[in-house]
Amino acid sequence: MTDLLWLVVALPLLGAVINLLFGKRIGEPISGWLAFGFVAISWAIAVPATLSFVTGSGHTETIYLFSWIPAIGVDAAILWDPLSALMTMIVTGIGSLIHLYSIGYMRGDERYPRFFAFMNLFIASMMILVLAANYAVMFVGWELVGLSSYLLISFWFTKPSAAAAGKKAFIVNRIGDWGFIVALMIIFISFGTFDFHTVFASAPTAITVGTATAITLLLFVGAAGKSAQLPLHIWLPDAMEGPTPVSALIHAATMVTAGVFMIARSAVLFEMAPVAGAIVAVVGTATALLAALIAISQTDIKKVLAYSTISQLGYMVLGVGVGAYTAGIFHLTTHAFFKALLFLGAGSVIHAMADEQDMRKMGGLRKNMPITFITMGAAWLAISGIFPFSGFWSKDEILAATFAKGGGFILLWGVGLLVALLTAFYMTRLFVMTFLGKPRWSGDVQPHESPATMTIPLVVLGFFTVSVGLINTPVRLAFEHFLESSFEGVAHIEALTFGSFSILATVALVVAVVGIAWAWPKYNTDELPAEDGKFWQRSLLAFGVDEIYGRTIVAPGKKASEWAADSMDPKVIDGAAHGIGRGISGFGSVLGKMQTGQVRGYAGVLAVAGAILIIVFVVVGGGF
Amino acid sequence: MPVLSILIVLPLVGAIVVGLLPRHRTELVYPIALAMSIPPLAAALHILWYFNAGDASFQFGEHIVLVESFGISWTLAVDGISLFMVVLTALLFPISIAASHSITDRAKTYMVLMLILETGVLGVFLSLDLFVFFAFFEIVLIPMYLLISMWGSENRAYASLKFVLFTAVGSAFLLASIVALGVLTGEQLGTLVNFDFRNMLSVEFSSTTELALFVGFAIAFAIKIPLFPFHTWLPDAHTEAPTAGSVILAGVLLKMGTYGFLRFNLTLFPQAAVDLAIPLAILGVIGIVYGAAVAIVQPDIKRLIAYSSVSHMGFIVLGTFALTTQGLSGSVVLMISHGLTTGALFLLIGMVYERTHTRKIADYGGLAKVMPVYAGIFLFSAFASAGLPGLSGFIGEFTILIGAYLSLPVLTIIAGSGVILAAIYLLWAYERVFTGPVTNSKLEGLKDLGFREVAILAPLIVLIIGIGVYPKPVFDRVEPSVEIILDRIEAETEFEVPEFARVSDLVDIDYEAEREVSDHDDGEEG
Amino acid sequence: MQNASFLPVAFEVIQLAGALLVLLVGVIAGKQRRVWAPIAGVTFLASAGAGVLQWRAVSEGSGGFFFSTQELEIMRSPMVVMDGLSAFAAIVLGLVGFVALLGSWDLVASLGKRSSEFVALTLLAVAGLHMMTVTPNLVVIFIGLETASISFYVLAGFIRGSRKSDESALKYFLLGSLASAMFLYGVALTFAATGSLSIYGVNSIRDFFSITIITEPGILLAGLALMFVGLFFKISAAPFHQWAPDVYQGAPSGAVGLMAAGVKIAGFAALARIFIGGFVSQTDVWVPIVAVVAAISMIVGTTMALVQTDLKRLLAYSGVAHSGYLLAAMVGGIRGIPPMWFYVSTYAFMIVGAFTIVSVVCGPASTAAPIDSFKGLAKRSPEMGWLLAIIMFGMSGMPFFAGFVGKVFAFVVAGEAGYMWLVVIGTLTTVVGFAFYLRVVSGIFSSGDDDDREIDPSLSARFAIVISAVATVLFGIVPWPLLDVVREALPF
Repeated sequence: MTDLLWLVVALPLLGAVINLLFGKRIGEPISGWLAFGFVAISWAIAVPATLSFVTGSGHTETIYLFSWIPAIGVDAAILWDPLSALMTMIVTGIGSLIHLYSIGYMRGDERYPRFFAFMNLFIASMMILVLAANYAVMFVGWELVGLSSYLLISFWFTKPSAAAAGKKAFIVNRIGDWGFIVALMIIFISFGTFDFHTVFASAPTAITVGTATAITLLLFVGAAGKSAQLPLHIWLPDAMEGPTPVSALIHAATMVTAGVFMIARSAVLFEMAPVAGAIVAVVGTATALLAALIAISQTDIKKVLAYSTISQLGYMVLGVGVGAYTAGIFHLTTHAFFKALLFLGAGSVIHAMADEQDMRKMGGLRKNMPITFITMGAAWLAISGIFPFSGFWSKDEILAATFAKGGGFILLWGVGLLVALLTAFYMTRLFVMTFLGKPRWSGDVQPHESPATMTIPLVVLGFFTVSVGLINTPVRLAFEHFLESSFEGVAHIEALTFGSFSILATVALVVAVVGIAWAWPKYNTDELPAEDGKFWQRSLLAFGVDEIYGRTIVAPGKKASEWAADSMDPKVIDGAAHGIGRGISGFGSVLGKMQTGQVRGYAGVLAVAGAILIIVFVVVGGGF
Repeated sequence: MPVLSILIVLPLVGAIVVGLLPRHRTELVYPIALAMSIPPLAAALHILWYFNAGDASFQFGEHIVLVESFGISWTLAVDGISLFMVVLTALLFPISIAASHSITDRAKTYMVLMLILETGVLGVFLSLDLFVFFAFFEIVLIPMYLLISMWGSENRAYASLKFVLFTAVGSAFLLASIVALGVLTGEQLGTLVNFDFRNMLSVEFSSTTELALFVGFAIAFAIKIPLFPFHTWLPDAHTEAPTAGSVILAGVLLKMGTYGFLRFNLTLFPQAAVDLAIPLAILGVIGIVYGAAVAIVQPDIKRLIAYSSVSHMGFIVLGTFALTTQGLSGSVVLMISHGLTTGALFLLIGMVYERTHTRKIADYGGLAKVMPVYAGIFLFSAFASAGLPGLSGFIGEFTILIGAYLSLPVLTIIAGSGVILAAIYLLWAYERVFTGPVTNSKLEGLKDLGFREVAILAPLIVLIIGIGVYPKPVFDRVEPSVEIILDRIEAETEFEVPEFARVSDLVDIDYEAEREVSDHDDGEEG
Repeated sequence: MQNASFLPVAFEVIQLAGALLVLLVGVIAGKQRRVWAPIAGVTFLASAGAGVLQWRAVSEGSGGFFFSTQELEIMRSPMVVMDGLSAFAAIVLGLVGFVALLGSWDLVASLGKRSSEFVALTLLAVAGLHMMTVTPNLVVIFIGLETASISFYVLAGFIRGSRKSDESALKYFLLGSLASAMFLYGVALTFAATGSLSIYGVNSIRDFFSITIITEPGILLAGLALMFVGLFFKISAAPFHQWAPDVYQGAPSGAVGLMAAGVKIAGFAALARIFIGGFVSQTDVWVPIVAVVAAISMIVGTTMALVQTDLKRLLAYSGVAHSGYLLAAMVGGIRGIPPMWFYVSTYAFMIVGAFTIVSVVCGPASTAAPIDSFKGLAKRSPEMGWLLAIIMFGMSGMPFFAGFVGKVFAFVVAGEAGYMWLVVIGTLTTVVGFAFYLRVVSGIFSSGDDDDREIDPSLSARFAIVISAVATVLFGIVPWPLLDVVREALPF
C-alpha cells in the first residue's frame, strides 16, 4: 500500500507540468478537471494506507526513494506515519474539493490552465512537506509551498497590489526560512543527519537542553513565518489578493498550518526545551489576541477571514506550545474544514456579488444563496465554538491543556478565552452583515447561487465541519489514539478529569454565546453601527504594524543599500582604485616636469646620475 | 588519445575556420561558428562520460615537456573539480554563441574572439603547469576586453579597461608568486626552475614564504571572483558587455577565481590556507550581504544580476574556506549552478534588450502580460538563482551552509541571511519589470520568445532542475577530489577537518538496510 | 683556428660594401632609387645570411677568436670573436634591418636625391651596431658604438627644414657624445686598472681576474660604472633615458624603428659581452646596481608612458620600461642571456612594426603622432588596426604574444637570482603598461572622429608590419624554436 505513496507527490507534479506546458492547448475546462483528477487520485492512493492506521494494521514506515544530496547524507525519503497520513488526507482531500470548486470559480479566466498548474504544484509541494522523512526534504516542501503561494497570490499580476502581496508573502516567509536554515545547521552539526527517526530517537542522549532550545526556537522562527505568527504575520492579510480558492486552500486550510505541523513533527525536541515551548505558547496566544482584535473591525470579508485565520493559527501554536500536540493538530484538522468552508463560502458570495468584497455592501443574501448561507452558518458556529460543532471540541482541548499546565499558563488560558469571545463576536458580525439584514448592494448586482462545482464542495465541507469534531471528544479519544505513534516519546499531558473538562468547556461555551449575543443585535439592524472610534480605526489599520516595519526596517535598510550602491562602491572603493591610478599618472606627470627639452638639463641629469652610479659602485664594490 | 589537448585546440580550430570564411559570406558566420562550438562540447561530454567517478586522482593526464631549461611543460589533466568547470565552459559557449544571432556588426571577428576565449578558459581549467596556467589565465583578458570594448554599450571603454586593469593587478601578484614558486620547486628538485603543479606538492616552505605566496595567489583570485572589496569592476563589465560576454563572464570567468582557490591556494599552501581561512571567509560573507544589499537598489537589471553574482560568489568563498568536505563540495556545485542560473538570467536580459534596447528597470512594467513565456522562464531562473529547493542553486548553497556552519558558525548564520536578501532583490525586480499594468507603450506588442530562444535556454533549464533534483552524479565525482585536498591539509597542518556528530550508528534503523539494498540495485543497473 | 677566414667579419664587410655600392649607384644613377633599393635589401639579407653561416660554424665548433695582435698559439688580444652571441646578433640585426628598411621605404621614397644617403647611413649604422657585438676589445666596441651613433645622429636630423628634426638630431648628438665620452673614459679606467682592453685572450681582463686579487678596486669600479653609463644611455635605461622621447619624436617616423630596435639589440649584446662575459667575477658588484636601474627604468618608463598623448613618445617611454625588463634578465647573469635575446629580438620586430604603422598613419616624415589620430583606425583600415593592436598586445606582455615569454623568462631568472622584489615591481609595472597599451587599442576600435580618410599603406610598409605582427604572434604561440636557438646564443 505504501509502495505507491510517492505517486501522491508525483501525480500533482505531473499535473502541474502538463498544465504548464500544454495547458493552453488542453484548454478550459479540461485542464481544470485534469488537475482535479490528479489530486483526487493522489487522495485515493493515500486512503487505504491511512485507513490501515485507523484499523491498527498500519505501522510507521520510512520509504527510501533515492539519494538526494550525498554530501550531507540527505535522502529523498517518505515518512509514513499517522501524522503524515492525516495531513495527506487533509491536503489531498480538501485540496481536491477546492480544485473542484475552482473549476467553476475560475471560469473565464484567461490564464485558467496556469492557475491549475500552480494549484497542482502547490499540492505536490505540500505533500513533499508533510511526507518528508527528514528536515532537509521537509525544507524543500516548505520552500516550494512558499513558491506556489507566491505564484498564486500574485496570480492576477496585472494588479500591482496582487504582485506586491505575493512578493511580500515570499520575502516574509524567507525571513522565517532563515531561522529554519540555521536550525537545520545546528541539527546537522549535532546529529550528523536530518533524518527524523534518527534525530528523535537520539535527541535525549545526543544534545543538551540548551541545544534543543536553540534548535526549537529557530524552528519556531520558521514556523512563525509560515504560520503567520507575530511578528511575521503581516503577509497573510495581503495574501488575500489571490483568488479565493487559493485563500481557502493555502492561506487557511493547509500551507499556513505547516508551521504547526512542523512543531508537532519536532515534538520530541520541543519536549526537551520547555522554555522554547513556553515562548511558543506566549507568541501563539499573543498572535491569537492581536489578530482577533484586528478581525473585529475589518470590512473586507476576506480580510476578516484572514485575520481570523491568523488568530486560529495562534490557538494551534498555543496548543503545540504547551505540549498538547494532539490538540494542536486536532484544531488544525477541524480548522482546515471550517476555514476552507468559510473562504469558499466567501468566494461564493464574492462571485455572486460580482467581485464585491466589502461586507458593508452586502446583507440579506440568505435568500439568494441558500446553500452558501446554510453551509457558512455551520462554519460560523464551528469557529465560534458552539457545541457540538467541530471547533468547539478542538478549541476546548487546547484551552483545557493550557489550563492544565497551571502556573502562568492560566493567564494564557484567560487570554484564550478572551479570544474565543472576540472570535464569536467578529464571526457573528461577518455572518450577520453578509447574510442577514437588508440588502445593501446596488441594483445592478444580481446575486445568485453558485454552480454545482462550487456548491458541492461547500456541502461536503459543511458535513465535515459539523461532524469532524466528534472524532476526538473526552468520551472517545479516537483521534488521540490514531496519532499516538507519531508522538511516541512525548510525555502525555495529564488528562483533566471529565468533570473539570466539563467546567472549562462550559465556561468557553458561555463565552462564545456571549460573543454571539453581543454581536447579533448590533449588526442585525437596518443601519450598520458606526465604527469610527479610535480603537476601531487603529484596528482597521491592523495597528499600523506594516507602517512600523516600513519605518524601522524597510526604509533604513533601503537607505543603507543606497548608501552602499551610491557612495561605498563608486566613491570609496572605486575612488581608491581611481586614486591609485591618478597617483601613478601624477607621479608620471611629476617626472615629466624633468623632461624640459633642454639639453643642459638632460646633460646635468646624465652627469649626476653617472656620478651617483660611480659612487654606488665604489661603495658597493669596496669590499672585494 | 590526447583528448584534453584536442579539447583545448578544437575551439581554436573553429576560430581559424570562422576567420577564414570569405569576407562577403556574412550569412555563413553564425551557423559555422555555432557548428564549430559543438565539437568541444562533444569532447567535454566524452570526458564526462569516461571520467571515473569515485577516483580522486587526476585523469586523462598528458605531459609533454615544452622548455626544459625553464621547467615548463604541457601538463593537462582533469579531476572532479575541473571536470565540471570544463563541461560548464563547453556548454555555455555554444549557448552564448547561439544567443549572439543579433550580432551583425563585425560578426566574424566576434565569433573568432568567442572561440579564442573558449580555448583560453578551457586551458585555465585543464592546465597543471603553472606557467601555462598563467598564460591561459591572462590571455582570457584579451578576447573579453575586445568583446566588451567593441560590442559593448555606451560606457564600454571605461568598463573594459577597468575589467582588464583590476584583473591584471591580481595577475601581477599571481605571476610574481608563480615565478617564486617555480624557483622554489626547482631548488627542491635540483633543477633550475619547475612549474609542474605535481612537483610543487612536495615543496616545503618557510611559513612567511608560504604566507606571501598564498596572498599573491589569493589577491589574483579574489579580484577574479570578485570578492569584496575588489568587486567594483564586475557591475561595470557586465553592464557594458554584450549578452554573450556577460554569460561567459559570469558563467565561467568568475569561476576561474574560485577554481584557483581550490586548486592552488588550498592545495599548495595548506598552512597559510588554514591561517587565513577566517579573514577570507569574512570577506566572502561581507560579499554575500553587501552584494545582495546593493543589488536591491540597482536601477539597471544587468547591474542587479552582477551584484547578485558578488553575493553568490561570496557563498562559494565561504564554502571553500570553511575547509569541510561539505563546504568544498557545495562550493563546486554552486559554481556549476551559478553558471547555469546567472547564465540564463543574462541570456534572458539580452533577449529582451534586443527588443527594447533598454536595461533600465524603470522602463519596464507589466511585461509578463506581453511576454508570458519569457516571464515564466525569467521567474524560474530568478528562483533558481535565489536558491529555491529542487533547483540547482539550493543544493550548492545549502550544502555550503551546512558545511560551513561546522567550522564558522557565526559567519554562516550571517551568510544565511543572504537567502532573504536574494528573495528581496529578485522578486522586487521581477515585480517592477513584469507585473502591474503595461505602462510603457513601447512594450506593447513585443513578441514573446521564439523557438530559437527557448531552445537556447532549454538546456540550462533542464540542467538546473536536473542538478536540483538529482545531484548525486555531481557529488560522486566532486567529493573524492575535494577530500584529498582536505586530507592534504590535515596531513600538512595541525588543522583537523571538523566532523559532524555521527549518531546514526547509535540508533538501529531498519531502513538503513533497505537503503543498502536499493544502493545495491542502483549499482547493478549502472 | 682559421685566422684568414673572412666569415667572422662578413657582416661588417657586407654592410660596408653595400653602403659604398649604394652611394656609388646613387651618384651614377641619380634619382633612380629603384636600382639601389634591391641592393640595400640584398645587403641586409646577405648579412643575415652571413650570420646564419657564422651560427653554423659556431655550432660546429669552429667559432673562436680572430685577428689577434700577434700570431701566437695562444690568442693574444683578439679583435674579433665569433660565438653564439655575435652570430645571433648578426642574424637578428640583418633581419631587423631588412624589415626596418621596408618600413622606412615610404620615407626613403620621399627623400628624392638624398635617399641614397639615407640608405647608406642605415647600412653603416647596422654595421656599427654589429661591430659592438662581435669584438672582445673595449675600444673596438667603442668604435662600433660611435659608427652607429653618428649615423643615427644624422638620420635623426635627416628631414631638412624641419626644426624639430634638427633639434632632435642636435640633442641626440650632444647627449650621445657625452655618453660616448663617459663610456670611453670608463674603458680607459678599466685599462688602467687591469692593463687590458680585451675580454678574452692572454693578459685579458678575464685572465687578470683569475690571477689577481684587487685590493684597491676604486679605479676599476669607476671604470665599470662609466661603461655602464654609456651603455645605459644607448639602451635608454632610466635615468639615462631623457633623450629618447625627444629624439624619437623629432626624428622622422620612418627612421625611428631602426634606431630604437638596433640600438637595443646591440646595446644589450654589448652589455652581455662586457659584463657577463668579461666581469663575471664581479657579478656581486654590478648585479645589484643593474637590478636597481632595471627597477627605475620599469617604473619611470611605465609611469611616464601613461601620461603621454603622443604615440611616438609613448613608445619611447615604453622602450625605457622594456629596457628595465631586459635588465631584469641580465640580473640572472649568463642564465639571463637567452631570455634577453628572446625578448630583445621579438621586441625589435614589434617596435619596427609599431613605428612603421606610425609612419603609415601620420606620414613617414612626421614628427608628431598624437594618439588621437589612431582613433577609429580599425574603421579606416581594419588591417592596420588589427596589426597595431597585435603589436600593442605583444608589447604589453600578454600571453600568446611574443612579449610575454621574454618578459616572464626575464622575471624567472631574476627570481632565481633572488631578486623577487624586482619581479614584483616588474609584474606591477606590467599592469600599468596594460593601461597605456590598451588605451591605444581602445582608440583603435572606438568609433573615432570624422577622420575617415582611407589608409592605404605601400606594399613594403604593409610587408614590414605584417612580418612584425606575424613574428609577434608566432613567437608568442610557438616560442620553442627561437628559445632553442637563443639557448646557444651565449658569449664565450
